[in-house]
Amino acid sequence: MINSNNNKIVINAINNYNKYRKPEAIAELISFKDNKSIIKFSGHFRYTCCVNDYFDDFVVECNNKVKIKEIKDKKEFYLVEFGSIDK
Amino acid sequence: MELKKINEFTWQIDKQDSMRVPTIIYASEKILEKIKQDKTLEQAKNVACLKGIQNASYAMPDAHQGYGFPIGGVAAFDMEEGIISPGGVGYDINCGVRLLRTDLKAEDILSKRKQFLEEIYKEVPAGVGKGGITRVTKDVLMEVLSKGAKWAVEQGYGTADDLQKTEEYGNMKADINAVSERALQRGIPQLGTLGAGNHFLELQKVDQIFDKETAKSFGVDNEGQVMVMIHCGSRGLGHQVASDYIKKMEDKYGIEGLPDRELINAPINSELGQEYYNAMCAAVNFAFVNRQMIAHWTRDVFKKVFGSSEGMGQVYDVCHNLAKFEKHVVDGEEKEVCVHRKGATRSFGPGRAEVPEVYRDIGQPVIIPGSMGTASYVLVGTKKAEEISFGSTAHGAGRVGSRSHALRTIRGEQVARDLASKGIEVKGPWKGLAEEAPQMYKDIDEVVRTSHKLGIGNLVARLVPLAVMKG
Repeated sequence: MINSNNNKIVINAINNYNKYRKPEAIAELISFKDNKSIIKFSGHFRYTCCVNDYFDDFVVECNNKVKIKEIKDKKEFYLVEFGSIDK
Repeated sequence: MELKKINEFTWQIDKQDSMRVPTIIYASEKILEKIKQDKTLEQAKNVACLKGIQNASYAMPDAHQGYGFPIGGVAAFDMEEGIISPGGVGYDINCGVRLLRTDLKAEDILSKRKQFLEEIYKEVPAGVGKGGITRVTKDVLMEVLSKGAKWAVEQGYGTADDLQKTEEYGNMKADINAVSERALQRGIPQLGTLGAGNHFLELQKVDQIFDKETAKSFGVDNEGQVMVMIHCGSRGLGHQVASDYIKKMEDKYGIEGLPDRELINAPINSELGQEYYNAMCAAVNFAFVNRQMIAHWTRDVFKKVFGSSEGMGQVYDVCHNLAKFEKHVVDGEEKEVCVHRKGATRSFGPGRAEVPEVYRDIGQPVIIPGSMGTASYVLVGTKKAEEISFGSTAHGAGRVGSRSHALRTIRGEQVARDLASKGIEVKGPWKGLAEEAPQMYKDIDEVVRTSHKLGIGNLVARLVPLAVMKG
């Protein structure tokens, strides 16, 4: 069951994230289910150091209410699964 | 975009449109072809449009595309008219390299390399999401951000001699109140960690000495001598400082008139410009402490595995992502400027007050890490660099392919096998090994050859890896 509050947190985070990082890094919501969200990260941040800190940035944009569950490299972008911290 | 050849290793894009100065690229023809493959030249040209830029916008021999400024980019700005830009420093503030010498010879350690890697992996946290062993309180972190490597030495991590042989003596004066709560919270669990990406800890041996006298002064005595190289930065804390101030600068100054929004900046002498500088200095200090602690644990592991850490002095610790106030000659007169080095290493020659006394007659050591499995180099800073590149040279090999491209085309297991066939032990996640495979980087030998031929950093010694710990 979708928790609408968590969904809102993720949507707001995507907006804020993109406002300050696009086109360097672009976050897009792929799915949101059972308090798990899958976000696609694309952009030329993939060429720089500390790639994973960009995913941590997203956690920060969510006010630390989510945590990284899995990072999948999909050639030209990353799919990162975030889960609720209380799950 | 018209590139004018100035000499064998120097290329110029003349001042045009909104450029305030020309763009100068230091590269051999071979390297230039690779530089042309991404947006490096366009980015270096954009930097030339920024307010208060002095002399030229420079691209070093290892330049590649970055955020706003190219990585391998150097630009200096007037202190009154100029700007400071987080994109000109990079996200991993004070990413840098530390080199330790030892009295050991390669043959003394070859049979124990695996044990060394096992032990160092236990001592030094690495990889994605790996928190630090040393959990600190916020109060302690504030002290770290204020004192830099001096804090670490006071706590027993290393010696006063390490501080002497660290750029800025391991500390830049910072106002820690400029660091956000978020940045602090990201820093607390990451102190003393190597991190993921292209960071590493490597056991190396001296493969070739080009300049015996200078090498000796740096503690590089013989071919076959074992050295330790540590490459890491300020982790999430530095990243958060960059993120915070990009937002603040955009809110206050906007992006109007910028050739690229990623070049967001603030006047150096504005309140916000100074605030960013202070937060950046705090992140610089965090990175110095990281490398100081990792060096200390490395010495501990040497004691445990090889029986002694005697003679493990520090050659030097250099930064390659930061902005600093330095005196340089502009239009025939010495003046203070704000030098941004993003993926570039300071390369001061003899006589500069910033170079530690022990090296002041020679020039500073410049440490150029290779990629995993390739050579690294020790160079010496030069007066020529001060004349033609604001005292800067390259910082490493520079990527030629994306990490995802590497993962598509290279398998980590294969990388490990290839390295083993060259006699190099390696420990790290397979994915990390593929991402940082040597073929994903520019030819380090060509990069340092270019630096040497130009005279912006002269060859001292070549180091080759014996064992690699990957983040």
